[in-house]
Amino acid sequence: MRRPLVSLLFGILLLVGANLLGAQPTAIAARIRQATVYLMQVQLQGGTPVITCTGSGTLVDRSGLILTNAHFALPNAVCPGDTLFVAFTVQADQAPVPRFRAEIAQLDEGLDLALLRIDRQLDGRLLETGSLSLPFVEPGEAASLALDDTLTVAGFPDVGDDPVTLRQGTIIGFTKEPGARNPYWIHLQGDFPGTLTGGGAYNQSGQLVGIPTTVPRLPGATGGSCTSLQDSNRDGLLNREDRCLPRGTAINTLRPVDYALPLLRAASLGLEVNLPFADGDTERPERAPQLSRLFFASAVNEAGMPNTVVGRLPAGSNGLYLFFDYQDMAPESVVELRVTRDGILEPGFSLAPSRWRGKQNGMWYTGSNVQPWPNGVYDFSLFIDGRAAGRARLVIGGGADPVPVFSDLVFGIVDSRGTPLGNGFVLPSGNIANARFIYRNMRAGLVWTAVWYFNGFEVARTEDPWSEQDGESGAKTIQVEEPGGLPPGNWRVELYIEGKLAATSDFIIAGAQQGILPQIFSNSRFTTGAARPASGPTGSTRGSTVGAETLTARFDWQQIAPGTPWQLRLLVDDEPFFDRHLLWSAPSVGQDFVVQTSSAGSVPDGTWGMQLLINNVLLDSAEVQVGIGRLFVDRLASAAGLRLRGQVVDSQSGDGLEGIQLILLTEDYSISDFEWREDQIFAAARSDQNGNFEVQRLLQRNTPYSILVQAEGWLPLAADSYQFGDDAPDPIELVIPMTRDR
Amino acid sequence: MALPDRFPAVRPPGPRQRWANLLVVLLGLVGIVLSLLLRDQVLGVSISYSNLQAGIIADFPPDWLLEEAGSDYVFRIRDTAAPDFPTTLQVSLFPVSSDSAARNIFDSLTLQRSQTLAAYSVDDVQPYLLPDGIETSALSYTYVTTAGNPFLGSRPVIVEGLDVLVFERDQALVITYRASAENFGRELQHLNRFMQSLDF
Repeated sequence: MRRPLVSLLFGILLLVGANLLGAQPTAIAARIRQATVYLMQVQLQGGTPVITCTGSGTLVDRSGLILTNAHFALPNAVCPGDTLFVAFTVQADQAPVPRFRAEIAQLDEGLDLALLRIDRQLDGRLLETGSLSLPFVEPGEAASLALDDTLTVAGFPDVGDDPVTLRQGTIIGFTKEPGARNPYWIHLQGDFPGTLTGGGAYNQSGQLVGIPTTVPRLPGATGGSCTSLQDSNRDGLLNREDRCLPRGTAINTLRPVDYALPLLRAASLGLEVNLPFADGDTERPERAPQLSRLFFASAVNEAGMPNTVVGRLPAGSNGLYLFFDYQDMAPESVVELRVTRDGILEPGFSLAPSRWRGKQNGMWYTGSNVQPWPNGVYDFSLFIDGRAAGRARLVIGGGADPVPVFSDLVFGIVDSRGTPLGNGFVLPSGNIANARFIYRNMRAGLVWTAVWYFNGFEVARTEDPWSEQDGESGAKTIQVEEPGGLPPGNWRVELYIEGKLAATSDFIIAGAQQGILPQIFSNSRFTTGAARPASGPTGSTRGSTVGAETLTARFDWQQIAPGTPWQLRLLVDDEPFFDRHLLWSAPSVGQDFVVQTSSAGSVPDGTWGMQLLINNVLLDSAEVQVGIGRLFVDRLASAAGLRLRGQVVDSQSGDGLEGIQLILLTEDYSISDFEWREDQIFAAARSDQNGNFEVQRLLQRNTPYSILVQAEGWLPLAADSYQFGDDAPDPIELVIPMTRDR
Repeated sequence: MALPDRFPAVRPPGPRQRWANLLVVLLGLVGIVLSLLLRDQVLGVSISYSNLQAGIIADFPPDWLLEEAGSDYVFRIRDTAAPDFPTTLQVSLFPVSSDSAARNIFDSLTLQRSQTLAAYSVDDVQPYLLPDGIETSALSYTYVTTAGNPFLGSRPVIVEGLDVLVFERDQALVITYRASAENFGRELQHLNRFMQSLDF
């Protein structure tokens, strides 16, 4: 250092706001407010930037990754803008101020989640990589949430002058949908306007656990509403002729943050996944979406199929699912479910308008087995794009009726030795398919019907009176046979009692017979770059590679029909960074299906994996070790700790001093060790024109830091072993007096 | 050096001399007063501007350049003699609705300027007291401007700006004041005088 340091104990530092009892929640709230941003999607119209959609977002990484909804980040019919502006809360009680532009880093339209990356200055200049160090929040575990938990929802309550708001709500329900064991929606009771969409919901520890979500409908559509705020056509008037901001309805649902974690992991590592074939649903349907075959079930099995079909449920039931078939749905379709009990809306079971998560055609369910369903007459009404699309009624109450029941359909393929193969819902190719089901309360003479479908077309039907030999209760097996072999594809069985649907289930035939599970995917392995790989053993493979920009996973496949749903999951260190439900669109048989994972630099060290699933059944996998075999641990990635801020003042006049540099060294170095190397610095800050400063990295308690405060013309201050104990307030507010160097 | 033992006797001034001294003092005082008056007059000299279509009347200093042909303002006046950057006062009108808030106007301005002004950055939105005592909002910002002539060796200039927003019926009036960062505080008096004279 050029001049001797004046080492002073920071006893002159003034600790302000040391109300320990109230400090922690206040600090959490302040952190959440800082991490909540306002997003504007903008479109240039005749040279004039017009705001097309707005929403809230949450900083989840110090480098400027923002978690928000996809429906206003991605250009679409409702939100056609192509540039995203990010506004920050500069002062706690004021409206946000635009600061940066952002791009989409990761996206999942079905989940309505997007991760944005702040990449440009407000004027469009590219930001230097690593130049940002922004306050952020850490994601928590939504799976640990329970009924009656209190959450805090953060976001912007309108498009006017209101600052970021924090509102509390209570969890009143969970909704499950196909694709995962955990709920896809959390229902929250409280006052949450539609402009909070894309913001954050936090647990008591200040961890992000959900994303409030509602989708505005197209202006002009039934129930659609919007606000004109700009004279977009420049006619000097602000009226209906101008572009208006679509507004969503009140929010009662959160998307659990767990589903955003793969996106966050991929964005943090700068990964991009490329597939050789597009998802099966590439063509937009020309007809309007339609729903059919609405029915209820009390439970869903591991393959996402109904256990049985119910017309009513006894009192005290916990499980209720609405199933329906859908046709001609599109990713932009907005679906809303309104559930009423005895004519009164039940927010705990209803779903706010949200983007369609399924495919173009198929079967879907929505329901819950977590909360008790009170007695009453339930009406389920489904709306697509604001239009009534389906309705079903169910009564819950009274005791269990001894009505005839079919349930628990499972399937198998019979091999040449008569042994059933398949896991129950994914079967290999063969000549005979079995369907086994359980029956109860049956009576001789009741007419029952079994109908088999292949890819939506009826292929077999039997209708018989119930045999006395089968008895009242038991298990029964039926078969469908095709001497030339049952073709691979989507199959369905419907069972009727006296003409009423009693049980139904879908299954998939694909792959060759080999053991219990069909051999659909094989020879899965990893290679680097575009080089053709050496052949490896089927199943899990191991290898080692380092320094490549692209990591390529390959596999072979057989007897899988186009349109078959499958799931591709890519992992690093056992954590997924890509997890998508896709429709098979490649030929039925082939080799070297290539899944490329590219990185901006070289592929990071880690253990990389690929899993191939159908109907939630793991059919093949591969694994490879890159470098040391595990990801680099980013010590800056923690959002837990103490905030340090304050003001640097002239010791004589008391005026704030601009441009004073404050440097905190890591615990490994003292001031005397400091050689002005970047790696020795824990964090740094510079005072603004009023002398205020804020260290963007959080300090850990009971960790010794060395602090250096300096500027040209002022005597530097320095201290070693400066640490904050368990009783230190958060934030720590310092006033640092500086003495002029004469 | 030794002092002389005695000084020559001084004669007291005569009446004429006394009157002459007094007159000199009086003339000096008159000169000072006149120069102060002249200074105030020079500083206070203004030209009145009125735009009946927009319903705006305001005074601005002489020797400032008046422009009315802009596409995004009603009129603007610039002190082209100011060093670095011509100090500018500009009035713009924006249509508003009952849903409009200050932030919507400021966001529109920010998005528009981010397309055209280099390193445009919003400092903050602060309360602003109008001469009639009504509190409104003002947006302060900075950007960098460079000379448009590529053959001149001028350096970029940091410009500070302040937008004072006034809602009036179904319109929002934005009074923009811009000056080089170096002169911003010193030239702020022009904004204050302009605001006092502004009638709309």
